[in-house]
Amino acid sequence: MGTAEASDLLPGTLDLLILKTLAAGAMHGYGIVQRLQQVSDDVLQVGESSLYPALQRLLLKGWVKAEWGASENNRRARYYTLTAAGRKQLTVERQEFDRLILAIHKVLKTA
Amino acid sequence: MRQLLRRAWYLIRGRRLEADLAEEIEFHRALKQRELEESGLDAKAATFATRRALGSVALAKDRARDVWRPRWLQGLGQDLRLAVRTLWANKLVSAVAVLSLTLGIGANFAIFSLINSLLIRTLPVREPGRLVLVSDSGSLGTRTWNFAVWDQLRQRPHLFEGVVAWSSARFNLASGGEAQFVDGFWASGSFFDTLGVPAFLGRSLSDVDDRRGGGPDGPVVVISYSFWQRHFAGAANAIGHSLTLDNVPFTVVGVAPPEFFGADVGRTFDVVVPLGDEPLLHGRDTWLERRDVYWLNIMARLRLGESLDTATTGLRGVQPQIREATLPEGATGQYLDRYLKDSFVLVSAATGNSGMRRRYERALSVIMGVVVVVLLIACANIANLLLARAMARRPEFSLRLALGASRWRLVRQLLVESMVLAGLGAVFGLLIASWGSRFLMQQLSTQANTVFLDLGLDDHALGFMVGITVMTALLFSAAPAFRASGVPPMEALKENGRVTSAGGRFRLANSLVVAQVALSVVLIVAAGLFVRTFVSLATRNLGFDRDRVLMANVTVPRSTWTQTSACRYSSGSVRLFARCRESPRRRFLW
Repeated sequence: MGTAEASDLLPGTLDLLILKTLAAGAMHGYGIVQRLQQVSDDVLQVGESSLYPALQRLLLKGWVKAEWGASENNRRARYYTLTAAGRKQLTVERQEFDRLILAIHKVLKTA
Repeated sequence: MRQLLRRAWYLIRGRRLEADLAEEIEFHRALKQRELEESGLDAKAATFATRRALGSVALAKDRARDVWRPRWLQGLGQDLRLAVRTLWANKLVSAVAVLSLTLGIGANFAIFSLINSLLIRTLPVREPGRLVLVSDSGSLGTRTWNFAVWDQLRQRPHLFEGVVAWSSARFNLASGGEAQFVDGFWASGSFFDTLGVPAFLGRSLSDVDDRRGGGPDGPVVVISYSFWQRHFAGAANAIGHSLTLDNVPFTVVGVAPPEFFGADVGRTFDVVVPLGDEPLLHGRDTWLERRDVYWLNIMARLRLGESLDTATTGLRGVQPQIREATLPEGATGQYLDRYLKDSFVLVSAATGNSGMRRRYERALSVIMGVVVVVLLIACANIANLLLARAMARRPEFSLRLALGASRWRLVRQLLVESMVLAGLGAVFGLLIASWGSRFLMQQLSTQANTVFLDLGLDDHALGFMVGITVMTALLFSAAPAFRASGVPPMEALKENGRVTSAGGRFRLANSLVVAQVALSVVLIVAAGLFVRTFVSLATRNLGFDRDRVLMANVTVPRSTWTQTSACRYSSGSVRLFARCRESPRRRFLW
């Protein structure tokens, strides 16, 4: 089974995945990566150079907010949480994504 | 909008936030490494594996930064700091450059402010675009009318949304002794409401005030904001106070808003008096009855969506009736024919009415041309200075190129430096201009005619200022930037990098000098002609000895003017004249 780097994904998908992951609760960057890997059975592996720019993008748009807190091993870690705007965005992007996938499916079936 | 604020926040807190990011990534790395170590790798192998797994940290930081600020903006702060340092290091050159820019930009802005307020700016009233002046197709293009025409027009409210009449005048504030004149105008009762100028304090004029001989409140007057400040020290109880104009008591009922200077561009007012009060001042000789006195400007407001043409057609429809009803007394033959034939014309009056406009339009555009040439010379001058400096900075540029800077980046550096210079010039120029244009305005004023132009900054003025600053900067930085971008990066590696291609620099500099000399010659000739004209005007031989000659005016209040008082007045004057003649050391001209 191959693995996918974030850059191989459809554009915007990483944002969607991060939003969805954060919907479960506050998480730091490493946690997000771990969780994505775990849930996707190691298919989705996100590198730092994709994850942190994406998080900054979400911060800029106001969909997540970041707060410093203590991690499991008592180090300072930055925890990201979903804002109300982010929650709304999640549903929007999800619908968009479903539509896109459906469209791709249609193309693949007929062609 | 919120995004913009967050971006700005990032710009301010940039360093702190980048440190946060670095710490965060470091934390991530540590956790990853522990995970690998737990899976059985030794510490060293785990470090490498972590690096492989996570990719470039620098790239992550760069990309994260790109999210917050666009690429082209990055380093602009550096450029700016470097520019200020470089300019500071060459104080003399920078000072000369800023000084010439200050003069150049200042002169341009001073003249533009005059042009702007006289020709471009619209009246500070509601929807000035719908205002039109009632004019005449005759050879003189009359813009003033007698009271009869105004009376006819105001009796036909279906023609326009509203129509107003006004006429500038001076009033004597003093009830005796030395005359104390204030500027003002007669206005129809509809004046403020039709123009859409609300009273700043109290009320404005209404149609009942305009009744002949004064309305229910007696003779009333609206004063200007500046007169209110000057005469009443801005006191709120000024409303209701009495003001004597040409020996007739008036009641102050309102204060006009500060930015309103009337409908005549080039003038301002202290008092506005209803037209209907005119007979109180002029007595039996009232202009309301005279058909041979053309003293009123008439302005109308078009209906919403109505075009100038349809309004003109409507007006011409009733023209014969109006002409017939307002025939000048005793007009016959050719004159009568012409009076009946001349058709009404409506002229757009968004920028108000102005006699000054026609008088100074040409002169102002000529002077504008001259000051533009001055600025061009300043540009050539500075370009030359900067070119010399760019030459001295070749090693710096070629070193930066050799280290991987793009040529665009070098050009940007020079552009930023020019912008700083031009910006400083613009700021000082603005100061000079605000003083200069006020000074010019005072020069245009005479004792009997105060010229007033609203010289405040508006969109046009700011646009002009920014435009001219940027244009100037681009103009004088083009040559040095072109030079700098042509430096080969190899030059830094050679020890005597300076000797190459010096010839090109001199060619460019030479052509700049030629242009400069040519422009200067034009300017000197023009300036010489100006001075010559001025001197000959100032020293013109009037045919008599002007030394120690004084001019005196005696004002007689017209409201008290009767046959007998006229006689008394003239005999009084003769006595006065005789008394003066007796005094041994003065001689009079009657």
